[in-house]
Amino acid sequence: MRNLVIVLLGLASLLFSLSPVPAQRAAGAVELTTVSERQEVEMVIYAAQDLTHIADRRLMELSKGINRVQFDWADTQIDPTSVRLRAVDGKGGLTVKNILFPADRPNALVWLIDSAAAGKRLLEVSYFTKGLSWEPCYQAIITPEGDRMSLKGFLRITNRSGEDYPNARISLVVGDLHLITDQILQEQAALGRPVGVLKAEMKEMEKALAEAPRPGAPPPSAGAKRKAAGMGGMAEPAEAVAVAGAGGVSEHFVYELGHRETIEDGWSRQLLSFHAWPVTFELVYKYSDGKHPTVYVKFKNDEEHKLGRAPLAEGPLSIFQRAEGGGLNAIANATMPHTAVGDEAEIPIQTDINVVVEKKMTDYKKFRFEFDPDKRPSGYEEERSFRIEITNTNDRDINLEVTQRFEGVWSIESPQKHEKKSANEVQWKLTVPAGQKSVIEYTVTTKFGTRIKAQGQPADAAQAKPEPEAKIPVRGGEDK
Amino acid sequence: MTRELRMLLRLVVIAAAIVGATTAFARVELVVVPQRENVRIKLGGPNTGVGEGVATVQEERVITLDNGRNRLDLAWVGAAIDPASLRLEAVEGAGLEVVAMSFPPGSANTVRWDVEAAKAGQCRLRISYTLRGLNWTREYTLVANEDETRASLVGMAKIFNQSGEDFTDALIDPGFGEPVERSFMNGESIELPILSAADVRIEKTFVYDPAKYDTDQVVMHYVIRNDAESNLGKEPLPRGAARIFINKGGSRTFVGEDWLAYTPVGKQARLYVGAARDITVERTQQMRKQTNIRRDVMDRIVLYDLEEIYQFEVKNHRDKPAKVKIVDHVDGYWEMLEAQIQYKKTDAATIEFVLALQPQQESKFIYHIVRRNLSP
Repeated sequence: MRNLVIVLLGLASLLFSLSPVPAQRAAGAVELTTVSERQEVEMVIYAAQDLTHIADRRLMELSKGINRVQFDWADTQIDPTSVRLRAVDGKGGLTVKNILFPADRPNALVWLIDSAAAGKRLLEVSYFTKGLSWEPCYQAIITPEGDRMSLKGFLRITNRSGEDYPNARISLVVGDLHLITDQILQEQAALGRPVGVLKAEMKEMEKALAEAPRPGAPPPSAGAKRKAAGMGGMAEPAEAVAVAGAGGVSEHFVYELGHRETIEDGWSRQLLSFHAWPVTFELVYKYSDGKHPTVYVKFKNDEEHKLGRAPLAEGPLSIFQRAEGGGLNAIANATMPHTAVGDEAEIPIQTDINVVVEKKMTDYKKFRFEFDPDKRPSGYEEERSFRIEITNTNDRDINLEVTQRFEGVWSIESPQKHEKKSANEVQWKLTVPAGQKSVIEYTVTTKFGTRIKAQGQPADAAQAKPEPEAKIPVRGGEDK
Repeated sequence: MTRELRMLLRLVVIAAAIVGATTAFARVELVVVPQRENVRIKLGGPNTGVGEGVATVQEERVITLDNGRNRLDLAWVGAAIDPASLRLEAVEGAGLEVVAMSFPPGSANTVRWDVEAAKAGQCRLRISYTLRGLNWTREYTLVANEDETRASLVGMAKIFNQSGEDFTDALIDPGFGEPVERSFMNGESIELPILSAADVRIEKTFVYDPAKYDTDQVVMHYVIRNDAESNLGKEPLPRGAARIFINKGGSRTFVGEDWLAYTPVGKQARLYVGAARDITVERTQQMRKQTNIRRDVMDRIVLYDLEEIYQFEVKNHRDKPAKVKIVDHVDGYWEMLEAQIQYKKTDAATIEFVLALQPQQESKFIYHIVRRNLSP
């Protein structure tokens, strides 16, 4: 589908379409003479919204005086309120006098351009379109030994916009934008048809977008290139690496492809964004309840782990293990969590049914009652003892974190080394050797009612924090 | 076209002409259909990360690449391949780098790789993907001796090819037992051995636990420990249906079937083999009274203890001895005051007694507990 047509109307009629081949549909009664070549297309695709900013640069032969340039966007998903035309060759003498929306042509507009001189000018048509999207995805291949992995990141770009974009320079933006595009369209639809008048909000948005691909502190190579393009010059031919640079704009993160990419309408293209090797990682087992622990892959997004160049955006992650014979075995279809540079990615991959956990309450007591002056129970304690037995039937040791949650005012005793992680959590860290069993035992005492304020009991006073009285499940008791 | 061509790999050699900023492709399409080799099918299952019914397939094809950019199209018909799972890598020969993987419009059954070859020449490619429609079940046959102390245990994997794809000379790996090389056509189902163990030690147990088994009868199990001592223990036993026979004088008698749950090495499997008719247990409450009653100023009971005595009457009408486990459940805070036979508190709410009975023996015992600090 090649639906975007830009036509120069008048004596020296010139057509350019957004595709490198002649447009399939003739632009009505307009005489078509030449197909101009696109100089450059820049795309900024936002991940969180269905939004892409396109800047299409063309050389156009203009006459001295008024030139009429028609832009036609039938069967595309272009936002008509966003279409702009400007000269980007740094030379002056060009004014957009007027924008007409011809009554007989829906999805078209005509710019009346006043040119001070005749000659070739570099013009940029920019607009927002829907239908282009991107998502990151990842592939990890773990070594047969299981201690290191090769981590590849991909950017998958999908074009359902109705338009081909050949040889485009592409930037991909992570993060949410506040948009009111739909409201603008609604407002203008009520008035009959979109008008080319800018709302203040749109101006702001356009400004933000225009700045988006020009990171404040980008890597030197990307920064230099951006600067050149921003000055209105032609971009240098890009090197063949997939992603040249990455940087931030405000709270947004921008990936830039270091080469031109053709994304035809209807296609999805998955491009290598990085390849990190060797990434050392930890396998951590976590258990809180149930019959089996969950296995997590843990690594830091930093230089030590051959990463740390950019945040890892959330996306699907396929994990394989290299078989001894060379093939791949699927380990898991997981999700890479959004991981900032310097942060730790912790990815749940599977439940290991070869590690069997038997957790049971071995003893229960409800006692140490106190009574109010009416001799009704005003407080008591509950003591629960648990035993967690972990059998590792694998032929390798596992590192296990056992976390247990407790509510209310509680204290704990356990012969195994443990740590209070929060007001409600206790954690044990242990290594369960291959083919062996480990046991955790603990007794948790919970206080209720007046027992919370009781003195001289073997409770962890530092930990005990009185709960609101409403939580105390003492029936018929008049507390205090 | 034979069905072997269902997965068609097409190599498109491109002469790229650079015209200004635009790259136009003068296409020369060489359709090569390299033979697939070294096909390996790893069935999904426990601990494989992919669900059951989804297999990881990998295959190799030898292809001749041009120096520089090459384009490879893989198209398939009727096979439930997950396109996102497709991986391409060089095994040997000219190295290659996958520059991009593309999915064309309107076709869920095609993928295109742009690859960069370091040099021209033959290259052995490995293509891997996940494929739906390769379901499998496991069936065990357990044949016990007349004493029900030893058994043979044979496990078979029954694999169904509903994937839409034919495989010739593929190495099929269920993940248990040894992989088997054979052809496997769409629509076929095949059986592969995954376990064959003789002289496996089994223990027949008799348990009375009405709360757990929802019956007043004594239930019987064969307990099989997946360890070397039992002549097992080489690998986990995957979940499957087990048919149970007893071999008596050379003829097999079918005595029932049950699910054998996934059993890691060192753990035990329990197969239910029915209710025992010749062993009976009768549980009766002999006493129940409130003690240690605490009242408020209005003389209303606010807390009390409850003492209870239960009696169990166990009869073994068999002409063989029997060890019967009797399980009772008591909630809350309780203490045993007296038990006439040894007991085990297996958890906070469970009491177990084990009674060894001689043939035709009857036995009785009581236990006396107090449940403390109950509210009315």
